[in-house]
Amino acid sequence: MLNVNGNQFKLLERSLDAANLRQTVIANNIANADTPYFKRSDVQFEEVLRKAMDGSISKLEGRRTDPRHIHIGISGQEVKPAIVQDDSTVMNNNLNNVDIDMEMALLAKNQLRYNTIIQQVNHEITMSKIALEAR
Amino acid sequence: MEVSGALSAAFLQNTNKLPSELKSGDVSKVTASFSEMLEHALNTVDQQEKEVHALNEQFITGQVSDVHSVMIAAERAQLGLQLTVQVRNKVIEAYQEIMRTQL
Amino acid sequence: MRLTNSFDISASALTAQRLRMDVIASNVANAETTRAQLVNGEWVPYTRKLVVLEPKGQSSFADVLNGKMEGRAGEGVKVSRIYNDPAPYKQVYNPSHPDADENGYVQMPNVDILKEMADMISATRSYEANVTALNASKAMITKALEIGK
Repeated sequence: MLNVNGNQFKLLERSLDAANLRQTVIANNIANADTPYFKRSDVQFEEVLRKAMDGSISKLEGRRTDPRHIHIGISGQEVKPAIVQDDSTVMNNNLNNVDIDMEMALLAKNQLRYNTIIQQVNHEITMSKIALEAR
Repeated sequence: MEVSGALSAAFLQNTNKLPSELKSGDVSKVTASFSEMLEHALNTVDQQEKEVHALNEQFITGQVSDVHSVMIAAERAQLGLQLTVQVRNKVIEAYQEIMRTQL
Repeated sequence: MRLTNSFDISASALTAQRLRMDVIASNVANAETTRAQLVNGEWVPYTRKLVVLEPKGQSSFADVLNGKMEGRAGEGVKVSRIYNDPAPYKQVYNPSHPDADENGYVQMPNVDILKEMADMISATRSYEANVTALNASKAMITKALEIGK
């Protein structure tokens, strides 16, 4: 009955998880900006989530009888943030492909998105409190 | 107040109707118009909250990238709900006052 | 995933960059040291030192496999070893120097000051970037603590 238990709230929580994971991955990229042979990584969540919600990913899902089975196909509930390694570009001689300026920009963008989503979480909680007339 | 212009317009309309209905002594008509108004207010708030949810989803999936539209929609919904709650309180107070005078 | 994972990653990078700065400072300070150590009864000039950076948590195949399977983000950077630059010493003609050999050449350390300066700027920039990452993580957690207030 309360909106803080609803699906919208769960969606907000999951995107906060994704933003947190992305923060860790970007911190790791920045830390290894000078390490030879290091390839930067990314977190994929938003695009996959959008495709799942639009329904353009096939809804065929494999049946799992054991928790160790590999997922076949995804459902909207199962979209998890995934870490992918970016092997595409090479920035300098030691085969390290971290562009530190881009990482700093991604860091700032992630932080702002995180703050915005926290604000929306606060909004949901405040709406519930107003309706309940709690102080 | 642009936030719930429709709501306050409906409110004013209904209060202007009040004297004639009171004169005719028909309390049920008064309460009916209040309940209409409240229902309208609740529908407005519901609409605004749905808009907030839609904008949230768009922001999370990256389709909408400006923060201000998300923030403004959230504030609008919050103020709308607060106004509705206050109006409900006043309506109940007024109703109780009316009920008291009859006894 | 631990709460302060990104802190640990940034902190490891700060440590690694500071160590790199120390090595660079040592190189610059000893750029003219002709008598660094005694080897077989003879003085040998200072050898330039270099650091090797390696991602933490990737030292064995098992670590890498587990990391990829569990979707872990990586654990930062560490200095795996400090080694001597195998480049040859510089020969400078200076017959009046006490360490000059019979042809008047002195063996000077293989430190190129300009290269050291460039390395120093790179290390400083990395250090600042990691401090910014640390501050960003801290700000995010602070914001999260204000939910519901």
